[in-house]
Amino acid sequence: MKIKIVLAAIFSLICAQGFSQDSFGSVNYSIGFPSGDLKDFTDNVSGRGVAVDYAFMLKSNVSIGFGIGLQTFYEEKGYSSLTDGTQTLSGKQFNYVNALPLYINGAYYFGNSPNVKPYLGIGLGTMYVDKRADIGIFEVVNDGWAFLVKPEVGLQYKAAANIGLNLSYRYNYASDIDNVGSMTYSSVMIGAVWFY
Amino acid sequence: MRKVLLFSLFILLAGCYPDGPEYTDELDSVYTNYSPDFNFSQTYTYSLPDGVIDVSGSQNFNPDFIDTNFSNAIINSLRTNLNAQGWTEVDENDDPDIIVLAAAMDSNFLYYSVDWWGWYYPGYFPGWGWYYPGYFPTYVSGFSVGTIVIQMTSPSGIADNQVPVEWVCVINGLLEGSDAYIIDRIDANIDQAFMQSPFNN
Repeated sequence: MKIKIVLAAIFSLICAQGFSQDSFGSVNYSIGFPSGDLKDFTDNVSGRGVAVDYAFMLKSNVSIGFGIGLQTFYEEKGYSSLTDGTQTLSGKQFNYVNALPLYINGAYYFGNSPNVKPYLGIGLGTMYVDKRADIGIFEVVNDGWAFLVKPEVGLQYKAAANIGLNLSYRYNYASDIDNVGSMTYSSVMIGAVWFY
Repeated sequence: MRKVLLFSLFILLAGCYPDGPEYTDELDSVYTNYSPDFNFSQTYTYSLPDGVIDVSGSQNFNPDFIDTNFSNAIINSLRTNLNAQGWTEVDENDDPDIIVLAAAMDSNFLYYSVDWWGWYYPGYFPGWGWYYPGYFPTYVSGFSVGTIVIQMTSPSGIADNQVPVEWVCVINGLLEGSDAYIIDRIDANIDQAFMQSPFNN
């Protein structure tokens, strides 16, 4: 259901694009910092992430858009034993989490500089989470969809007429999923922007 | 410009694939389960067969032994660990409290039959089965790797042609590397099986 709502919203935005005057797209490299349940499962900072966003300007200082991302978390837990009642499974444990946020975005831009635009944004959507624990050739897989709230603060720099840079910090709050937990993480994004 | 951005995206996505196991022994695993009613703090007499039977995909009731090197490694490691608990080895015909059985397979585990042990088990009659008092081990299937199944049975508890299995251990790993390397891993994993179970704890 959540995915249908998000897809419908994205489709609406694409249709609404005809009314816009300016738009821009961006591709960002993302460094992910796990927190909460995710940090317990994979404690490492993730250097494996990407986000692709597209937005159009409703006014000179307000944009609305949509985006998709992928962040992969991994931790080698070492030799571990999982015990459940009388049964125990031991082996070297490798934990993986793939988080795929899918969202619509709104942002407000401050200042009047034509080249440097600090902004505050908020995104709403869903996050697909694939959580895996490998011991030996055994793999315990849990996955699900979480509700996503994604506040963001950033800076957009227009380097030329149609190209620029983006630097931002996002907090990806993900609601609790059964057998998965809350896979909330923060991300620092740096990427390229192209303007239409 | 778009080509550059798409290429950058491809590189970013390719970099998303995380690390994983690098060495064969990192894929070894040890599973154990036991009867909650069995008293592991007590010492027992036990018997061990001379070898480990090979039940690879076999449905016949006259299985062969596995390679002598591996078979000896498994039997000796079991003997060392059981003696370390203060248990005493006796002949299978000398009324042991516990009979320990080890089997190995290198293909899919289809089913595991008591009949394979008919040649060894004292008082055996065709048609016997296993039962797991108070617990049930996770069913292991679908492996194309080496698996060792060790069962600790209690002949005094046989009822209705069912042999009680007080402790079960499944060791699993890839059959890669030299014989010495595989034997080292067998030893380490059998030691781990005893360590993670409530023997004398």
